[in-house]
Amino acid sequence: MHIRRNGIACQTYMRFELRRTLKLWKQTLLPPIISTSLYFFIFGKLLGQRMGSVSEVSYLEFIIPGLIMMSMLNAAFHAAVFVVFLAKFTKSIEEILVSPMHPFAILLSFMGAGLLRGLLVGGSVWIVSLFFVSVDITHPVWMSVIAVLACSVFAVLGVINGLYAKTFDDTVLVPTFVITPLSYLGGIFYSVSMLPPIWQKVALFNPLVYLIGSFRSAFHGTQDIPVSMVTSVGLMALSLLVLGAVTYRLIDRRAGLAE
Amino acid sequence: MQALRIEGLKKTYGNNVEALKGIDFSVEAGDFFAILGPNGAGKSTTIGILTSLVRKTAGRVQVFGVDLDQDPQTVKSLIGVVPQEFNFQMFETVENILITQAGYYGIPYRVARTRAKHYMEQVGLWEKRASIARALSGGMKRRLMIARALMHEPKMLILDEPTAGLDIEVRRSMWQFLRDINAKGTTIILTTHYLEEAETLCRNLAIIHEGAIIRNSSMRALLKETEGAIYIMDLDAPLSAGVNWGAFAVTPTDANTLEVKISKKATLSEFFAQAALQGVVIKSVRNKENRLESLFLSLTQRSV
Repeated sequence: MHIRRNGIACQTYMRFELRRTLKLWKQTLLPPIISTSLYFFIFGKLLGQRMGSVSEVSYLEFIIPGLIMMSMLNAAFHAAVFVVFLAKFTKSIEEILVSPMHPFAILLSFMGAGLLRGLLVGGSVWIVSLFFVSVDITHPVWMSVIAVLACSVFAVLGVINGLYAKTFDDTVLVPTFVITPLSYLGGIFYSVSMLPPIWQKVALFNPLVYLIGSFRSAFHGTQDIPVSMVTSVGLMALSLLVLGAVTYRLIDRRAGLAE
Repeated sequence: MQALRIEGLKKTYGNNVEALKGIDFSVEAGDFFAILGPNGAGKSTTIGILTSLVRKTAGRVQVFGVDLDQDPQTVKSLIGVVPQEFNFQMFETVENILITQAGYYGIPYRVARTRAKHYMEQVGLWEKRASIARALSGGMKRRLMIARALMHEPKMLILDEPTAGLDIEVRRSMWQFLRDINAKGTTIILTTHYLEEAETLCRNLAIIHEGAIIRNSSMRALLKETEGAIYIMDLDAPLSAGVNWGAFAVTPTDANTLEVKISKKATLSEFFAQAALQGVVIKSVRNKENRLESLFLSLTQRSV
């Protein structure tokens, strides 16, 4: 692989996506900011005052990491699906396919588009949360690592969805019917330890429990899931490697992209 | 040096449609080469394989000596593609489309900006540099695609129906632009349905029909095979009765117009001399049909 050439290609693609994300801020950044602001206000401020503390922090502080994580995952996934599907739909994918970009550089570019959007949305939601309550982040490095890994995993999943999507409907199925319900059931608004024992065991099959739980651990320094942050990060990194390898193979075979 | 060498190229699609049945041809560096054929003949599949948009079933493709299977990235960097359908980001500006495409080929931003300016001026899009691509006219969109294909300065330019749907004025200015690029050393491979375009621009050609090459020769050699040509001649005055046309096959279509068949052995000068002898004044002459067109039809129909 020609590293310099592919590096410039990835950089070009990221610049293009950053410009598009900022240009379309009313579609890309504003909606998650508004919806999470409403959650902060209604659940955190209005209802949260009556609920006392959860896992040693106020209810508003408790829900902030989960809401940031949900916004990031949705944004990362949706951005990746959208860039791949739109490129296929408009045939502009051919601009990339006829170029000497290596399949790995194409994967990095698509994944990078999702990661970039996820982090921009996550950062924006976090800034908005500061208007409601100021939280000192206990482990900022771990928090950043978890945010990057989680967004990358969901961006790669979005790329796979985008490769196989044939209609616009196919691009919203996973966010609507998988990510959002699993996020709500993954402990955004409650600690898994508050569930009855049988449901605690069921909840542990939900991968978002670990993402949200470890992100919250990095945020508040508390522990409300039965695995450590290191284990969660390891599992995320492993998932990223496996999914990345699968997606690389799909892009190399031009699955869903050409013919 | 050969710009392109194709050997035993086969493509069978998933639905068992055999689009290419093992074709062979080569294109010399600096050539202006036409790939002709009826719809569904295999032209687009051939171009799709050359540009890595279609995976071949069998065969070998070499571009400037580089094997497509062994080093696809280098092959891609040697080729510029102008597809038949518009395939750029419709909501981007002209300048951004060019700079972004250059980036995909590893050209740094500053160099890409300079080149974008150069090619926008070349194709007459400099005034439209900040326009959204979607808002351009059909001719401008085609020129944008040509400029985009040239941004990485490829050694070989492949154009799939580059003038489809353009009016004659734009088409002719496009021809001149392509001639200039070719004169500077870029090998050009062109597919077109306008056979006049191929006849005017291309020095060599391959005709594909039902997935096989049925003719691969120089344009001149092919045109020599023509049986003759039929001309329409407008007369200065109505034709009087009893004109002796000698050995020429002449059919008056109305009082002031003749249809004249000039065989391979005869010349137009001989006919004009005979007309002058008979006191017939010819005001204008035009071909009834394009020579390449009639040859093309006879070749593809013979093949059927």
